[in-house]
Amino acid sequence: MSKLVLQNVVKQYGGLKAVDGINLEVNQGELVTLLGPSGCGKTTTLRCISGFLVPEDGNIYIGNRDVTEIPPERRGIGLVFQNYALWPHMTVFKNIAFGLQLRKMEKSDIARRVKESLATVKLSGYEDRFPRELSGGQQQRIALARALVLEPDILLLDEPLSNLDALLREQMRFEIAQIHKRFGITTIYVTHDQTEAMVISDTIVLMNQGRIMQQGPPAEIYQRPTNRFVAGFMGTTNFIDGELTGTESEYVRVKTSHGVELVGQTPNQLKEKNVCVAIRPENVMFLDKGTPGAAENGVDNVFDARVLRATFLGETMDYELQVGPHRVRARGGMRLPYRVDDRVRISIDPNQLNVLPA
Amino acid sequence: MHRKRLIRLAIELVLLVLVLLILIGPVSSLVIWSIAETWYWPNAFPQEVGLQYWLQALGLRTSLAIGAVSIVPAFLLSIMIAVITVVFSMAITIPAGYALAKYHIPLGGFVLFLFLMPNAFPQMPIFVNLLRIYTDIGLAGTIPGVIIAHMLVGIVFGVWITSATFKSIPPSLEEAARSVGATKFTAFRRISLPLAAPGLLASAVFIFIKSLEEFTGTFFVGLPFVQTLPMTLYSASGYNMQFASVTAIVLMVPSVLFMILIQKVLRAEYVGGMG
Repeated sequence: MSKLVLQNVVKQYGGLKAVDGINLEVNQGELVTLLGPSGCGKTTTLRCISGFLVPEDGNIYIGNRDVTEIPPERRGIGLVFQNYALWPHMTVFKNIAFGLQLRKMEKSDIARRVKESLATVKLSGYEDRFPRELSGGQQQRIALARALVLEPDILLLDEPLSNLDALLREQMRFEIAQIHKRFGITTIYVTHDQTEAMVISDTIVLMNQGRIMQQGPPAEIYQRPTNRFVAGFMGTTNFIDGELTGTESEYVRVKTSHGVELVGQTPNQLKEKNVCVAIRPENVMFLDKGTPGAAENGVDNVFDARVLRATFLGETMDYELQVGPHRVRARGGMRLPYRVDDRVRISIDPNQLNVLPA
Repeated sequence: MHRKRLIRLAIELVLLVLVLLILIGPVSSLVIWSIAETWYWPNAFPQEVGLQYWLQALGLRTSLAIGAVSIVPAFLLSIMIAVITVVFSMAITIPAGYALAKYHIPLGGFVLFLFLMPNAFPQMPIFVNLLRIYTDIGLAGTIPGVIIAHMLVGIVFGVWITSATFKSIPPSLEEAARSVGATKFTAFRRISLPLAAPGLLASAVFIFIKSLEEFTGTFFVGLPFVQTLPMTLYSASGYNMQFASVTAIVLMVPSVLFMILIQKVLRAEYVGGMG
């Protein structure tokens, strides 16, 4: 178990920088997810950490060792692939035991450790099966067992659940999270699935075009995005452009491009006047006629609105509202579903209204 | 529709008979010739049959008939040349195929194309020129010279087969091996090689058979000292059809045996292997 540090890592192909100066520190035992759209550099970063790619610039440290120039087989890593990469000509036992055999371990020790690792992934008794006899989920668990049995310093997972169906994915990510809690191995996880990232991560590192856009605990990334990309990537967001008109205590005032005044908070120092307001649909509150404050005017972020679209989503209603000159998406409960053309009154908590650089 | 089915069956039967005739016809003709001791036109079948020519060919009986020699030495020579050709060819095609498959060799496609080029040209000009080069360097009429000529033919296809074989193995399998501590070579030896084995075996068998039946090159390059079985066949086919038939059947035996072998091995591998 070790700390992982990436210092200014750059990986480029020709003129294109797939990884553009990444600085990352992962604490011992932490599970960090590299999250982002295709082509953002998350897999390239992982391959630099694993050693299959050598960066053009920068250093990688595992524990106290500078491993930048060290080949993968000597980095003490465990790797789980998207396509499982189990060796088809070997039994499950041999697949898991392979690494231990290379270390010239005693046969009895090997047998014991393989048994333990199979128990960890809940596949005891599968020693003599061949990979082709296993389902996708089972193969992935064997791949995990194979990586864990070596007690690596760092565990790397490259979109391990992407090839599984939705239900299995949900199940497996809880198992992975449990295994991580149990063994406490420093883990780097790569995925494009934000729900997965939020379920299992201690820290999410959101990447785009080879750079880190924001990193932090899932709640912070989701509720306090620091830039437009992060706000847009996680969940659904309404974006409204505007100008900064003033600040008061911890809030800021914004006038939208259509003249509507809003109050919100900002996670970072805004250097410019041009800003972008990010509001999540679930933070648009519907005020029932009886709610205190509903009829008052001049209260921050309270508006009249008209329902343009009402879509049934099962758990919630998805609305599109006309709020003055703006169109805003909102979520509503099933207790009081609105219909098209209904007049409603909405309010947005300034704490949930994020003002970001334009 | 009872009648429709009958017509379908009839057509299938006719097609089956045609296919059998085309496949078996030539072979059965050879078999009949090889046991024909007396056969005069216009009879459809030989008047006398016997194993005379077989015994002569196998060196078990001598005869004063023209062209009747024991084919055993030529057969053994052919086998020996084929085996050595395979060994040396595989020593080249395995690393070459691996490199072409794994590494992004500049102009890799061009290199593969170059390998295929010899087959684009008519064989005779190639071998005539080879003979000229051999004569200069003293390889004409020698066994090593013939082996090299056979290797030229074998490597052409060998590299294509081995590189395609290695390409079909996902690189993540070797990477997985390295991630658990295997060096590049160990990963190749314990993962890629076993998985490539069926394809490599196919390549080896192909080179073997190609060498065994190689005639044009061997004829130009090997004469007058190297006499392989196809050359015996050539000599005999002018005037001693029975003898030629025996030789042809003997020449077919290794090919058929290997085909059966490959069928068994490859099928098991594909079911058991790549999953």
